[in-house]
Amino acid sequence: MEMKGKRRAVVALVAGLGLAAVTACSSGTVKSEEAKSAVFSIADGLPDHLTPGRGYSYNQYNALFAPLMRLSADGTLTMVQAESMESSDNRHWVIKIKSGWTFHNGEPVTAQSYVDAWNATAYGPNAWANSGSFANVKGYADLNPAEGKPKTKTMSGVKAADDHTIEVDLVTPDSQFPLAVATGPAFMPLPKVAFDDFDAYDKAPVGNGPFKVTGTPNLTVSMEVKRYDGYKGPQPGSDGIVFRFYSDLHTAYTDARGNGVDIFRVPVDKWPHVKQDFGDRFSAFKAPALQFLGIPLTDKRFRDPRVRKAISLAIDREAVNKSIFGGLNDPATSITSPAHKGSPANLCDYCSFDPARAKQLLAEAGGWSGGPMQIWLPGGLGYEPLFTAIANQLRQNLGIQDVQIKTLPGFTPFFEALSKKKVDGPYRGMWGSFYPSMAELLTALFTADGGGQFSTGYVNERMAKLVEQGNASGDAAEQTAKYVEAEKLVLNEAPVVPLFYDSYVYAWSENVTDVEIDLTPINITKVKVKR
Amino acid sequence: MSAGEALMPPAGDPAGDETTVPADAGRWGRLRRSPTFLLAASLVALMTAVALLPGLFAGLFGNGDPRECDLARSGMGASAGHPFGFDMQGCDLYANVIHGARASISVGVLVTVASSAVAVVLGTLAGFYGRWLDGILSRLIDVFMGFPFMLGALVVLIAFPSGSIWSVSLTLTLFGWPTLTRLMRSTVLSVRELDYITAGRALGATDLRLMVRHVVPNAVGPLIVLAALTVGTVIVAESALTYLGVGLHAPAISWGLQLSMAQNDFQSHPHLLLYPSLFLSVTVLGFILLGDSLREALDPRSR
Repeated sequence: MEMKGKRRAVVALVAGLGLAAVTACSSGTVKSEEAKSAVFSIADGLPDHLTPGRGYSYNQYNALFAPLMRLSADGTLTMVQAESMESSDNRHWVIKIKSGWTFHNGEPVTAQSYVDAWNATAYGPNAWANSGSFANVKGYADLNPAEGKPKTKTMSGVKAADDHTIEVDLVTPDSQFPLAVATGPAFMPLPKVAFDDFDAYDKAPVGNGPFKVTGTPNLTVSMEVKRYDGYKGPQPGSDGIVFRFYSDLHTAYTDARGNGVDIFRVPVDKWPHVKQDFGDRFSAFKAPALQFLGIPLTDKRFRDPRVRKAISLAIDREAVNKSIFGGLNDPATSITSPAHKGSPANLCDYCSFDPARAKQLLAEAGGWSGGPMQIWLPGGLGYEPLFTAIANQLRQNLGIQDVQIKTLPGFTPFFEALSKKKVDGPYRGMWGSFYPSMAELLTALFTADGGGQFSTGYVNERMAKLVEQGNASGDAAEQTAKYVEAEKLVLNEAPVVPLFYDSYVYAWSENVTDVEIDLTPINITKVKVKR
Repeated sequence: MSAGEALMPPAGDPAGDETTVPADAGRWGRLRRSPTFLLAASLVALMTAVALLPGLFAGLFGNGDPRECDLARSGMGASAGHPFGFDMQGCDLYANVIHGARASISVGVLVTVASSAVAVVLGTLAGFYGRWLDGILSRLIDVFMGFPFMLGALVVLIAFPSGSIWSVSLTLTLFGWPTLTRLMRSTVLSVRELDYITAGRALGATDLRLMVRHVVPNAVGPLIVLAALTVGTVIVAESALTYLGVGLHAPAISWGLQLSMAQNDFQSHPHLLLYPSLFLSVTVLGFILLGDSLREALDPRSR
């Protein structure tokens, strides 16, 4: 898997569009020439690909495409382009889509638009980033053979039964599949024009969403979209959006304080100041994301689980959260966060701060005799304060004389060191779930094919079985029970040290109101512009 | 050969040739009477002592461990035993600023010594032999001087990030030697035309001997002045590069890093910015004053 993809996946947010009622302001009438149009701007990093199957540019996908369903901040699913999504056995799924919807070029959105898009995304030789979203769909393996070219270009498990019915067959039953469909950009449709030339389409895509591209965007500077009048979904509260691309969001922070740009993601080292600088104009969405310390489990100094538990007990998460994150994250008390549906708190009995027990556990395990302990992280990205604080606490609370941070220049060398097993101490780990299911996080981090398994170096087959049983179950309570049992199995062996549940922190200028941050992460159809 | 030696003026004492280099005693006397020099020399001596023995100075107030930190004291102001207060990690700021001297001064001295060594060798060869060698070296210097110093260092450090004192020093040396070399070359050019060199040559002294015994000692004065000034410039450059995130990396302790860490918090905690920058500017001031007073003493025209 490509490294950059991994990194992006790690900070993955999830796509979707607003459905909740947008009422009064959305007259939808064409504005007269003189009227100032209500346009706001979003500060964003440089977009990678504007075709949803190919990248992680969620803000652009949200504007240009409408998802089948939308997952609200409270965890409920509402239909957008879909009319229904049903299954009797969690394996064979039938998705009905609404009729009368069109792409920005007038082409009707049909079941075939989805089937073609999904096949293109899953097709191995295309090497699209979100291909893995279809890994559990029947026929995915045929499009991604271990060697050579695939013999077919379509998945046997995806069919258009008629113009408005998509049928999907999964390899193993998965009750969480609707969540994946609602949040994964890979599940967006593509119009016929996309298939003429993928790369040309990628520069100015035609979607089925509330906004359409105007002109030819310069993807190193900015991109403008305006309201698509033929959009049948909930009407947006603005006439258009300007995406401004920043190489460093600290600049956006300064710009937004002067109302020069409207909505932006707050860099983590600015979190302690965001309240003072933006007052109520910021939001910290509790994301289904875990920050953790990975442990080099093959290193004999860390082989005893008591050593790993001691490390965990020596970290005062509350104090770190307060002074490093301005209190905007939550200290982890389990592996899955409360934002993961059904996750109970306090599953981890070694995630509290207890220096006495930490020292005792370390002594029982034979003490620390491995010389200096280094905490590895990618440098220059704002993570230094967090891991310096953790290093200080390990040194003081465990009585290990020399604990230092070890920075590598950026993510690429960091992941390289991880994959080559050069990392000889605890290291930065992070997983943001694509959708808020305990199964997603556990599968990603602790199964052999999981997208985040490289960052834990740990696989638990018994846990994978339990998660599979949970996935297959139709009963929510039974599902959760299976997932919790699975999580306990992992916690028992302490392969990682859970640190914090991450928040997505966004702030905005005085020009906009009704900014809602959720998993999407910006609910852009709701945003209104002050007149 | 012994006859030739006897005829030649000893190095550093070109008797009767006052237009080039004054006598040692005269220099010293002027220097010792200069208040600027005394101030500069004591500043430099103090900061060097701090850099060599940080533990001694850091412990003055009883909390000398820069890595003894408590998040509960994050960002707090001065208190008993902690004259500068605490940084955001809750570590004693005074101990950290004191320990930061070593990295900054090490880089300053390393780069200056390395650049001067290159300058003495290349500048002397170019000035002494002239012709094609001088042509090549001068053009090479032109090429390097074409890069803006900071921009050049920034590009190299972004391309080869490692964050150690050695890599930062090497990079700064790469862009620091041309200025010194050009100066050395021009002084050698004027020295090699002097009578005692011609006399030495007439007596059969080899080129190497002429350069080592006579040219270099008599041409190195201006270089020393510029080198002292360079130490200050390099310390500033190191801090600037570190501040920009391409110089030294944590867990190193340096003033540049402390300033870089302070940039997000200085509005609410100005002491984080104040003390490292104070130490930085006083140290740089020390080296620059030292260079200035040396120039006054060594440069006959300013007498």
